[in-house]
Amino acid sequence: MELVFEKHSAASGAANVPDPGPEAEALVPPELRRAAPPALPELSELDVVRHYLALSRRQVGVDSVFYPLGSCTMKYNPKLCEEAARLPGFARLHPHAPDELCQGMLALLWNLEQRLCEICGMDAFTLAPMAGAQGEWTGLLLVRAYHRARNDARTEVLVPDSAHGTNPASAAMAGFEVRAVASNDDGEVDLAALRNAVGPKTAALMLTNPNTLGLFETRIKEIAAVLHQAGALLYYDGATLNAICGVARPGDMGFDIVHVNVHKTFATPHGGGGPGAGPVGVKARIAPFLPAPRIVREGERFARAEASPQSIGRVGAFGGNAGILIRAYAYLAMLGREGVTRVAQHAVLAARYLAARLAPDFPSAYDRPCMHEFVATPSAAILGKGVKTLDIAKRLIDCGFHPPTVYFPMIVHEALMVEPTETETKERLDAFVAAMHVIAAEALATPEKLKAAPENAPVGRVDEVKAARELVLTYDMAR
Amino acid sequence: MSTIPEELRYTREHEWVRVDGDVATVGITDFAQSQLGEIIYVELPPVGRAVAARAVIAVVESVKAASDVYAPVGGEVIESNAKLIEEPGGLNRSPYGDGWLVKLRVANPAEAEALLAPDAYAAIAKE
Amino acid sequence: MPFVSLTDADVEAMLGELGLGSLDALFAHVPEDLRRHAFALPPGRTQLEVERELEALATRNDRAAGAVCFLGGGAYDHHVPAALREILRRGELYTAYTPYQPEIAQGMLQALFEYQTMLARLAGLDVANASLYDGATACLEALGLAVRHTNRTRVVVDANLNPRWRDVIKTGAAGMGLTVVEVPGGGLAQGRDPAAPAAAVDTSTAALLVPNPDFFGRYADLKALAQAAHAHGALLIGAAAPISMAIFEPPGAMGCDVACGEGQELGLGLSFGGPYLGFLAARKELVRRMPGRLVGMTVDSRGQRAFTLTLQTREQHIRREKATSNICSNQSLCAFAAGLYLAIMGREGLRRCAAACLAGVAALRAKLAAIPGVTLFPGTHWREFVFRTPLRAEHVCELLAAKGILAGVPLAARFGAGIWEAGDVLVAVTEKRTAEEIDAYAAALREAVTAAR
Repeated sequence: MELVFEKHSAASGAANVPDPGPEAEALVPPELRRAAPPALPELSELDVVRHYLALSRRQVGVDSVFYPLGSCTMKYNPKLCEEAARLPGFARLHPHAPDELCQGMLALLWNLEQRLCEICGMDAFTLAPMAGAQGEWTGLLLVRAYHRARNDARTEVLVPDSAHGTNPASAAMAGFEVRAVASNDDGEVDLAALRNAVGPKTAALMLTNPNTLGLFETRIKEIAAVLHQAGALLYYDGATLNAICGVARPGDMGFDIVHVNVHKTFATPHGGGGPGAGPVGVKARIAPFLPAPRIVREGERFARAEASPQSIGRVGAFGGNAGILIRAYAYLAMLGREGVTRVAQHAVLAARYLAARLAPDFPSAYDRPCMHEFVATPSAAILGKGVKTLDIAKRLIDCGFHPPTVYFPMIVHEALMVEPTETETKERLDAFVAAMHVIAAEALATPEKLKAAPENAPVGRVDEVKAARELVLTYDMAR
Repeated sequence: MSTIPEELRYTREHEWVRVDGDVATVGITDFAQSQLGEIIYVELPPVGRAVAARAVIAVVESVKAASDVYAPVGGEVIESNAKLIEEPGGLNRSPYGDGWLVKLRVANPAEAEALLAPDAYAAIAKE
Repeated sequence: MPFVSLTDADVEAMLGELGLGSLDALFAHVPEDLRRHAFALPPGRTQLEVERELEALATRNDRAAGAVCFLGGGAYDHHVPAALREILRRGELYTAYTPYQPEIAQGMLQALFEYQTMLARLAGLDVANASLYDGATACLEALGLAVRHTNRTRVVVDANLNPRWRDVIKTGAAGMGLTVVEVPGGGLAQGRDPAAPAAAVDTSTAALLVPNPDFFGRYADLKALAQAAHAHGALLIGAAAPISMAIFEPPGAMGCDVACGEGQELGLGLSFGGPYLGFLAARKELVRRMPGRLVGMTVDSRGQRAFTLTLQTREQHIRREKATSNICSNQSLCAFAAGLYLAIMGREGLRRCAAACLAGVAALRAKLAAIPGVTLFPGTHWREFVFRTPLRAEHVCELLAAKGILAGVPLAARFGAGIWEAGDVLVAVTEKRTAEEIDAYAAALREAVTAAR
């Protein structure tokens, strides 16, 4: 389809903006004046709307199809939450407005912090981080500040080899050296390897639980003890919180710092890649290091306070992605106590059911009960035909499904990581199983059909090699 | 099956080295390039850089992976294969020929003797 | 039960298939003592009840959200076109995740490619990434880019950058091994002096970061700075305001290697500080050191034009601790909205918007200059400026708030000590402010200052 730069109409959106006249621009001194105007589109408003509507038809989201993207928790995004964030009292609220005039907003954020504390078993939360990875970075700066305050300059962060790439990347950005810890044959952290790796230089271990294989770390309390005995902290990557929220709490497992991805567990939309929010919770002894602003309650009044002198500082210009946090608050308010637990139960049930139904063609990588997601691989017979996980993913597109996460975690060969979430019906789960079964049969009979997939998408298989070799990152680079 | 020329020496990290006098030519093996898939970018060291054995001398990237290349032997970089910058696919086509990465002037040519022989490397590259 | 889609019968059937007796049995391998907590959360409520609660909470902000807004300091009350709000409600777009499967994500990918193109053109540079979190983190990431490019760790920052952004740079500096040298580029009475920070650049400096406009709304010519930075092998980074680039010389044309900043003004609304949009544009030689996602143009198996994420080997999911940044979830929908905003406004619309800010500032300054006791400061101001009265700034703001006007940011009360004084107010005038509102502002301020004399 055409790019917006390839369309033109004499009428343009400028018609809606009053012209302040030439005398305004004359206020710009000649040496500061832009020589030629930027080449922005010139289209009527209707043509712009048509262009973007056409784009939206070339895109799928959770609202379009089943989207079992492992490690991303692609659950339904309730529409009331969208409405709530758009209420003028929130949407038109300037972040520098005086606290006295935004008590509703501050009350909401304060209450959200309290609820996250309760769900995670933590003593204090900050809502400032703007995504999961920023939460990790914030958390690791907290780790650094905590040890420094004790005159204990620890330099290493341990990360399991199955971890999300953000874990080592965040640790590096926070100034730590990263050491990988191997997983054992059960897919859990290898305790012997962990004991060997932990020492006086260890600042923290970053862990998801359930881990990225969808397996619960059953020896989590032993893991916590190993870290704590060595004077190190235990960091919880909340990417998989949907499996346990309302059932078990990271704080009770021995985690000292957590981040939660509200765009995963708390149903805020993923936005085509963002924005999300990554609130960070801590145990009391780490609370003095939290970033500004802190939301405080004084009787019935709420206020934004500067952080303590020990704080790591600020992690963003304002107090976080408030527009996203409003959605999370509304979602939690609807779920309530029983609803939160039910979410985890149904998410795990759906995954366990899918894992069992898919096993004949796509056996799980680990023969253990999964939590809210699982990692499978194509059967030996399928791989024997030269069919790759990527081919299966592309064929699923033809069947009307968004593919699962592929090739992650890296420790599983040809991985397919499936996370159905609690918001899909049994009929939909069964339809997915049926489609995967058909694809498995095709893989054996007509593997070339999978190699040629997708057939029914807006475009055929996209040449990513050409994209990287012949970089075209703007329309001007194409010409 | 990937090819493993008899006249070269190898590392566990899938580099190969050919020593002519005090010049060592370094590349990645056929097995390594087939595992990576189509190469899209190669990062090479500047001429004159001194590298220790087992230090990173280059990075080879495909769409979905980036792989560090380690110096099998220590030395000074005397040439980098500039043709690969223009056309990284050359590494896929000819990993032992036009797809070489770096030439090093080696201090101790005997270092290469300690590396893996073809049959020993074949056992590693089998999986 | 809200937002679970399995019926009781489904649950029973599925548990039966798994040979389990209850939902609790799903968690049998989670140590029992970890499952004992009684969650102290309020009971669930209906959509109607929650809707009413949220409306009540929102209403409690109405005195601020409904006021005439002259607040700036990093977020601005620009008009958000209705067409933009409408398109953003398309579920295909906002309920998608990162376009890892390009064949069914061409909509978001093409829109982000168009955004990258528009941002690069605005900034006068070659490439732009597909978003960072906000203006503050964009500055930090831009410094990281310079450090990787130059293999140096000292950075010089014009201290007239937004103080919140400077805070974020300080937060990140230690972990990234940065030495940050802050030099103010001119006092309020003195006017802009970007040569002052430039003089601190030496051959160990990775980058010089200069805002344009600065925190006090003042524009400067950076061309001489580019020469100073480049002579020492350092990069020049311009922290800039996108709308202003419609009429002011953009960073690229002034010799900046990198432009970064806050894209909130491009149709994102205020939303109490986020989600906003960090933008980052650069010369193409720097692209492999850039943080964040990039969309590239390519072809599909049938030879048709198609888009995909590219150069992913820079990113955390592949390069892990060696990645150019840890960013994963970014602000894609905000970048999408910014591109849409620029398409709706078009070349002429954006020019008018930028010029209207300039005219509004000039009009308000002219009115305030006539009030005895009010001090203005010199400079080329685009959308923001500082004025001083003998009163405490927060008191002035309170008096005007009582009349339904959010007068500005009281600098000392909000940001502590700085080059400002207790009576200094930072005021922003966008294209939304009418002549009547500007008159009302001046009248209210005159009354406040006169009453105190």
